[in-house]
Amino acid sequence: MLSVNKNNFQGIGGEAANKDFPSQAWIESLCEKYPCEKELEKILNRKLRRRVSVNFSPVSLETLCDGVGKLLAVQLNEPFEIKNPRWLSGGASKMQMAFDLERRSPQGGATLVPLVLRMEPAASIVETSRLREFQLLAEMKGVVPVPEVFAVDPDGDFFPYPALICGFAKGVTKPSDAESRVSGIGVTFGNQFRDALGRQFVEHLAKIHTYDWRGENLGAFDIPRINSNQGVEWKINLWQRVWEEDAREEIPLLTFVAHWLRKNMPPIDHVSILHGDYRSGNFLFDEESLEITAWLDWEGGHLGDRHDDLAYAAYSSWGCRSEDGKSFLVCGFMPEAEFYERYEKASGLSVDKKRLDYYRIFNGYKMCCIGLATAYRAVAGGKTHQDIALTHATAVCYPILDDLRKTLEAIV
Amino acid sequence: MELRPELQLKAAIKALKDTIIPAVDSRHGVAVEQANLVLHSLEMVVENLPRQYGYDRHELDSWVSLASELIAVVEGGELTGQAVAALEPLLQHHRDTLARARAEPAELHQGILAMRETISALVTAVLDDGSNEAQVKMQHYLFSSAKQQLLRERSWLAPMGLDPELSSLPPIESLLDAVKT
Repeated sequence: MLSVNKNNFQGIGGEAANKDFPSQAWIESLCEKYPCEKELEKILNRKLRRRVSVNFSPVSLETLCDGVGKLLAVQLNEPFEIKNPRWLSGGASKMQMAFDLERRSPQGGATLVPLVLRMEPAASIVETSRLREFQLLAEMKGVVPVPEVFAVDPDGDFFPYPALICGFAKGVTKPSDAESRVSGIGVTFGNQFRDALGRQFVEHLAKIHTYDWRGENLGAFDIPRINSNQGVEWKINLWQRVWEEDAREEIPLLTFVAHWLRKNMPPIDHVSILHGDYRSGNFLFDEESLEITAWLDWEGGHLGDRHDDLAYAAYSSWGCRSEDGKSFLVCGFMPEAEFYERYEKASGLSVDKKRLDYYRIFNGYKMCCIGLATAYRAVAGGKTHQDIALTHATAVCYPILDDLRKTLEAIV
Repeated sequence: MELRPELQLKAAIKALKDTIIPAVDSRHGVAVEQANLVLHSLEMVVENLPRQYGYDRHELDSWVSLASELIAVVEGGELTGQAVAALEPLLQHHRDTLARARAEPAELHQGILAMRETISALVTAVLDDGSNEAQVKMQHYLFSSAKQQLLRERSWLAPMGLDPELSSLPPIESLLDAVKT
C-alpha cells in the first residue's frame, strides 16, 4: 500500500526520520530553509531538541518555590521569604504560580510584594522566548499598564523550564457576570464597560505602536528594515517552519495560503512594537474604576507592521455582534470602521485596507499553525499541563480555516 | 481532521490523572473511587477504540459461520422451517457485509494522510511552475473542496460549542450519509 505518514519526513540524504525524534541535521536544514529572527530560531531549535529528551511531568508548587528562592537569591541583597504560593488559571500556554515575596530590610522592616511566576511546560502551544517577554515588559513600563518584571530565567537554569517573574496585576479579564470561552476568547462587554474600556483599548494600541523603541533594551529582537518586506518574510518563514516541524496532516488550502502570503508581502512603512496577541481576554481591568490595569501575554510581541496587531484585534473570534445584531464589534467594543478611525486619530498613523486584508489572512494562517500543528504535536506527546485545553484551541481553528477560505475567495 | 477521538481521550485522561484526581478530597471515598473508575474506563476505551471495527467484524463473522452451520444441519417442523427462512436472507446479506468490510480503519486514515500530503505537493508545484490556466482551475477546485470538507469538520466539532456559526451547521449524520449513499 502506498502511504505517506506526516510524522515521517525525508531527511538529509534521503534518510527517513521521525518528527517526534528530530535529528540535528534536520534542525539545521530547517534553519537554512526558513531564516527568521535569531532568538526565535533558537527557541524553535530548543523545542525540537526538547521533543526527544524532555517529557512533561506535573510540577509541584514546592519545586517552583525552590526555583524562585534560588533565582531571587542571585538578584536580591536582602533576606526574603516566599509566602502563599498558589496556582493561577488562565492562558493556554504557560504554567503560572502567584506568591507573595516578603522582603526584609536590614533595619528590620518587611514589605510584602505580590508576584507571579510564568513558566513554560515541556512544549507549548506556541513556543516563545521568556527573554523577549521580559525585555518587552520592561520596555513598556510607563507606556501602557503592564506587570512590572523582576527576574528572568531564559534557559531554565533555576526552574524545570524557562520562566520569568513579574508583579501580580489586579483586575479581571471579563465582567464578573459575563461568560467567555477558553483563554478569555469571545468576552462580551455590557454597555457600562464598552465606552471606557474601548477608549483605552484604542489609545493603548496607539501608544504601543508609536513608542520609540530604538535603544539598547531590545537585544533579543531583530529589527526589520523599513520600506522593505524583510520583517514579513521572517514571520512567514517562522510560521511555515512551525507548520513543517509540527503538523501531522497536510492541509492543501493552507499550502495555498502560505504561497499567497509569500507572493503578496507588503513592505513595512513604520516599524512598531507589536503586542502580538492584542485582544479582549489579554488585559485586566478594574470593574469599579473601569481602568485597564495591565496588558498581559506579551510573549508573541515583536517589531513589525501595525496592521498585524490591528487585523488581529479585529478578528471575528475575539468580537461579538451588537445587541441589535446589526454590526460586528471589535473585541466586543466598537464597529470595525470606528476602531480604525479612532486608531488613526489616536496614533497619527494611517490604516491601509489592503494591508489589513493581508494581515487578516496572515493571522488566520498563524492561528492555524498554532492550533492545528503545534497543539496537535504537544497533546499527542503529552507535553503540557493542560492538553485538554489545547484540544479546544484545535477545534477553534476549523472556523478560522473556513474564514481564510472565504476571505481568499473574495480577494484572489 | 486532527481532533480525533483518540487524541481527545488521551488529553482527558491526562487531565484526570495529573490535575483532577490529585485534587479530589481524599475524605470523600466514593468520589475518589469513582474518579479512578472513570480513569480506568477511559483507558480501556483508548485501548479498544482502534480494535472495535475488527472486533465487530470478527463477531459478525462468528455469527455468520454459526448460522451457516446451523442452517446446514437443522431440520424439524413448521417452527424450525420458519426460523430457518428468517435466518437465510440475513445470512446472505451479512456475508455480503463481511465481504465489503475488508479495509482496516487504519488503512483509511493512512490514505487520508497520504492524499493530503501528495495533493499539497501538487498545489505547491502548480503554483511554482503551472500555467496560469492550470492555477486558476486548481484554485477553483481547491476552494470548492475546502468548503465541503470544512463544513464536515465544523459539523463534527459542533458539540464542543466553539464555532461562532453553530446554528448554521448541518447535523454531521446528514453529511456523512450523503457520501455513503
